Order: sequence, then structure tokens, then C-alpha cells
Amino acid sequence: MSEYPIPDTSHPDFAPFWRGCLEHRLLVPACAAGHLNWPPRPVCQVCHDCIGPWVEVNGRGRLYSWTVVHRTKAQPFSAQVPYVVGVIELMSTTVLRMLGRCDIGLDAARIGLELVVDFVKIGTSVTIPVWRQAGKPSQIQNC
Amino acid sequence: MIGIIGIGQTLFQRRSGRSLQSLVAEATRRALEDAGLRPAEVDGIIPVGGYIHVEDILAAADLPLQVADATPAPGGNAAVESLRIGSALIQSGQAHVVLIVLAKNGSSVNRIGDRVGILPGQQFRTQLERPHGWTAPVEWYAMICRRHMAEYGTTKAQLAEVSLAAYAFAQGNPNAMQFGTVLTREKYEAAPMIADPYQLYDCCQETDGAVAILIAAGSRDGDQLRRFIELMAVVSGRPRSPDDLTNRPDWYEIGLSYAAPTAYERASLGPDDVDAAMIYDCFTFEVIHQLEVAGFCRCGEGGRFVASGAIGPDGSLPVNTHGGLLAEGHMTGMNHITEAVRQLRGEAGRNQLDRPRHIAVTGWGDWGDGSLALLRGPSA
Repeated sequence: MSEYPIPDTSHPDFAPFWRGCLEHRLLVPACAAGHLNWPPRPVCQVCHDCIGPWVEVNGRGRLYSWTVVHRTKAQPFSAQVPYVVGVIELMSTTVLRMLGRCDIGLDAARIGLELVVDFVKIGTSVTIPVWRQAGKPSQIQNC
Repeated sequence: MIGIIGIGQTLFQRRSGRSLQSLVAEATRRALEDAGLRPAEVDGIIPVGGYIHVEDILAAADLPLQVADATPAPGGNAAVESLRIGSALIQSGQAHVVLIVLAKNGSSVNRIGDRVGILPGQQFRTQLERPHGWTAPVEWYAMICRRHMAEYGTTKAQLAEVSLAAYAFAQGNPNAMQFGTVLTREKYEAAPMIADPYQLYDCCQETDGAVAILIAAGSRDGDQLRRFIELMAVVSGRPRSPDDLTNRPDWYEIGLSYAAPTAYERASLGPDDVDAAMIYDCFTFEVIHQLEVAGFCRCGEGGRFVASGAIGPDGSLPVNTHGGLLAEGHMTGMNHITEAVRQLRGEAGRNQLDRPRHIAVTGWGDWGDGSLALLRGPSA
């Protein structure tokens, strides 16, 4: 577990996101005008206003693209191959796409596949989102 | 006008057993010999690749210390971008002869994976990507390819065509790392999967070696006629957004999308005037992708274009006649420029094309920054 690339959850541009994950809520930053942004940046990518409140978004989405990683030198993932990583476009009025592990069969990956967010703990204090097919239980217990 | 007046390189190999300084010295000496210049005549330096500094180059190659220098961002756009920066140094009067040089022990020391930690947008890499096991270029670009396959019907068999063409050209290039390695469709298909849809032969080499290029103002008249390769236009661009792939409005829009139209306009050329192309081929699909974006075929048609035979020696647009990053070696695209020069001079050996006049060279950097150079030879 010590080799896991655990993110610094105190990073000012991301801390609210990680706090949301601990509560199993998917939060994204919004500006004063209400534009949702992803990935988080200090200024809104639409109106260049400062980022303000973080708001919860629907944790349902569709697979926008994906790969199955079969070979990697990165720890600890080299021991987890093959695994699916995808970009999930959230069902939101604003286009928001999140990258994540897809807890689906290797043959199940196809563009447009409906996925729902789940959350798993890595290490002792960080929780990350993973994505699974609606109605199917998560296989990933602890990354 | 500004052009390329000399090129030099070392062996491209897996384990050079040499220092970067030694590789720089050899490639630079060869480029100076090729140009008929003395070291004292160099007054501009551009280090490419992020592996070596200006000071290392000056000391290694015994060059004058009072030079103008500029350093492009590391990554695969740096080689073509250096032609642009070097031209700017000359046009502004800050230098007359600019040495562009890359040296790396990319196979034995400076592995591509190690460079990931210095890329732009590091906060996205560490916060949103690595924790999910998305850590390497092959995994990033596999996603663009997979999307293109679903949207346009691009196939694995079409990806194979890019690799087969590169390996076929490498058999005519004794300097290619894969010279002597015959790649068949069966061997391509049987190779290990790395990151779906990319198998082993969809991926470039990792290489030890160095390449040096000298540029200067000159003319296409008189004794220089045979060797002066004019830089008709060199333009770079960046995609929206420059530091993240996942949320780009258009996944196929890259820096080259902005660079190519401007470069054609400045050179008063169109894609149909280009006789061969050196396309930054870190992975097979990136050739298909850039052929579309550079206007050599329509968006979505790249797979069918490469499968038509167009990119082979007798095709309408031979691509990467040296074998490219896939089969000659990964010299961060510097070797694409030197191959264009050899072809335009008529010095490309067994892979020499029939009197090419204009050759396009593309660059592709880590998050899609890209460039297009249009080169004209003496026979144009």
C-alpha cells in the first residue's frame, strides 16, 4: 500500500473534491455565475471568474472512451493488470468528464456504457471514486 | 530565407554505454562537417528534449561560449518547434548559425516513463490520473484511438498498416534500430497487448543516441543549391485545453489543427503539393490522427487512407521513409527532420523517393501541442 500514488488531498485546487469523496459525494467547482468546471482550476474556464462554491453532481455517466491496461511498470498497478480505465461523461447539462477505474468485465467496455459512481478507500484516509455498471455490485473492495 | 545547412547523428541503439556529452559531441561534429563549418561559426544553441543543457553542449562540442540560446518545452513537439525558434533567433539578428541538438539515453537511462513526472498539468496527473492507474503516454493516447475507432470505424488492421509500413521502410535504412527485423501481420497480431488497442508494435522504440541540425540564412542559388533545404514555414499550436485531455471539447483537435492551416498559407502550399510526410509516430494511431489533421485526408478517413497503400514507397504520400519512431528510433522527432533533409537532397539511400520537392514534418507533444514544418528541396 505504501507504493500507492495517494494524492495530496490538501492541495488547494482539489481539497473540496477529496472531502466530498469521504462523504461519497461527487463535488465539482462552480463559479459565481454557476458554470461547472472539471478538472478543477483556480478560475472558471467559461467566464474566467474565480472559482467559488463546490456543488454536488449526479454520479451517473456514460463511458466516453476507455483502455484496458495490460502492462505497466507503475506500482501497485502492475500487480492489478489487466484493468479498465475509462473517461466517464457525467449525465449533466454541462459536459463534465471524469477519469476513473471501471469495475466492469474486460469485454463489457464499450463507448456509451452506462456507469454509476462508487467509492473505495485507498490507504487509511483517502477515498477515491470508481465506476461500475448500474445494478451490479462492486468487485473492487480496496485498491 | 532560412534553411537547414547541416545534419549529423550518432548510432541509434539500445545501450550506448556513452555519456550524453559524448553523444552531443559526435552528432555536432558530424553536422558541422556536413555543413562545412567550424565550431567557432556557431552562435546560437537550442537544446532539445530536456535531457541536456546549453552549457553541456557548449563544453562537449567546444563551441563559442557567447551564444544566443532558447529552450523549447520538452516533449515530442520540441524538434519542429526548435526550427521555429531557431529561425526567430536568426531573423531577429541574434544568431547566424543555430545548432539544434538532442541527445538522450532513452533506452538505457532516460526512459519515457520517467519524463511523465515533469509534464505540464502535474496537478491533474497526481490528483486525478495516477491514483486510477492511468500513468503513461501509451494509456493516454490509447483512449483517443479507442474513441476514433468507435466514431469512425477505424480498425486494428488499419493500425497495423502504419506499423508494417514503418518496419518495411526500416529494412532500407541500415541506421534503423529495427533494420533486419521483418514484421509480418501475424507477428503484429501475436504481440503482447500493452494498453488496448495498443500492442507492442503499435508503440515506438526507446533509443540511445543524438541528432544535430544546423540552420542558417542562405539561398538556393550557386554552390549551396544541392544542400540548402529551405524552411518554407514552421508553425506550432496547442489544443484546448493545453494541460488536460479528458475534458477537451474535441478530442481530435490538437496543436497541429491550428498550426497546419497557417503553415500552408505562409508557404503558399496545400497538402496536395506535399510529396512525402514525416509524421510524429509515438503510436500507430497518432499517424492516422495527424494525417487527418494536417489535411492529407478527411477527418475520419485516416484509417482507410493508410490501408490504401498511400503511405508506402509507391503511395501518393510516403510517410516516415526512415522507419520513424516506430522502427528507426525515438529521437523525439529530430530524426524526422533529418530524414526529410536526406530525401530532399537525394541522399536517402535505398529509401530514396523520386525527386520529392516538398516534405511536411509534424511534431506532437505530450498533451497534444503540435507543429507543422514545410521544407523545400533544391529540385522544387
